[in-house]
Amino acid sequence: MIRRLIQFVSAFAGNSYLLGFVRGTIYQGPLKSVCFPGMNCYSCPGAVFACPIGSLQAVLTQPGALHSIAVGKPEGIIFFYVLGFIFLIGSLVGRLLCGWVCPFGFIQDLLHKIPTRKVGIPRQWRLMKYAILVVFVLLLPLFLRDGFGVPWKPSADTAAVEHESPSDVKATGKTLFSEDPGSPWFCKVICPVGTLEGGVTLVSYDRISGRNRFSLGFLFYFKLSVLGVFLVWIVMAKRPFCRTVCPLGAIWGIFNKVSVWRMHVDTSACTKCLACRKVCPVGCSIFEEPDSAECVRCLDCVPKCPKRCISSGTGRSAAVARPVSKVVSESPP
Amino acid sequence: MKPLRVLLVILILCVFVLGVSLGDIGPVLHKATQICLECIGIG
Repeated sequence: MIRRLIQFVSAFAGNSYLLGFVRGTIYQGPLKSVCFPGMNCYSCPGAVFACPIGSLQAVLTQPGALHSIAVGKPEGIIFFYVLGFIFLIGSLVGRLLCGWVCPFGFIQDLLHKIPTRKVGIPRQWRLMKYAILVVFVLLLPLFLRDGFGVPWKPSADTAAVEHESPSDVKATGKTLFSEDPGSPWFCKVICPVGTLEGGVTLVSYDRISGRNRFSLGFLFYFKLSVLGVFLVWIVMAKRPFCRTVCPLGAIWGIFNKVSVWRMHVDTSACTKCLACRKVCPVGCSIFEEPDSAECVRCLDCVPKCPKRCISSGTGRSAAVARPVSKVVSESPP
Repeated sequence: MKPLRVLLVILILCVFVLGVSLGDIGPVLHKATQICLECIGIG
């Protein structure tokens, strides 16, 4: 119940620009410079923060991105801000925010409550999110331009602004970027979050209000189909987006093994009753691998364990769960 | 807490601070918001 409340509050806080829903516009104020710790598309009318995965791609899509990062140009150094933001959260709490803060995780948790036939997800499909992270978030935005196949090189546009300081750019009103950036391919062909939070809401507003500002192309209907598939899958399976697609979860999952905040299982007391697995929102067997990259650290399993084998914390003391004998002796006769 | 973990956090914190202090954050993310609409097929 507390987790649901925190999920709701964080989803609301991340999308608290209510005027955007009323006017059908997107907030572009100073808070958009701050990344949100979860998957929350910045094209959602209510979004007040930036999506970290979208921001990462935005940096990499700029012509000469590698060069900008390597030589320390201001538009390149922002890469360290976005990556540092993601890594910092990962190194502190691993995937904890997937379970407690991410708005799309919250949506998945709620939709999965719809009573219908439930299905599992093959174990191997979990690896897909790492491939998506490398190919669609890093490589394609970096190397594939809209013209298909134009490799990275410092562009003429980039060279033109090379000698201008950021203050000059602000004064002249020019941007630091070429007008021909690559595409954030993950957002463009896969991510259902943007379609749900941004596409559907903005287009619905547009059509209902009769403004008809937007012309919808093949891409919109393609993304709508992708969203439809995901929605059906989410109702039937536990958090399929988090387990098979989410690049942010993939990064934070890697940190689960080394983060400051960890999950711990007293394996000597565990009877493998599977009570933890039944309540797990990602179908994880925590007794097999407490630091599993799949665990979103929702802590739903902790009170459900009949032997109280599962604990979490930062220090060595938290690693030792209460022994079974002690638990038994404390229980009422 | 293991010292190596603390070191990892400190190192990443340095990377983050470097990005915040020297990176031109506003224009990049502002541009990202504009590109985003095109990405979801709204023109």
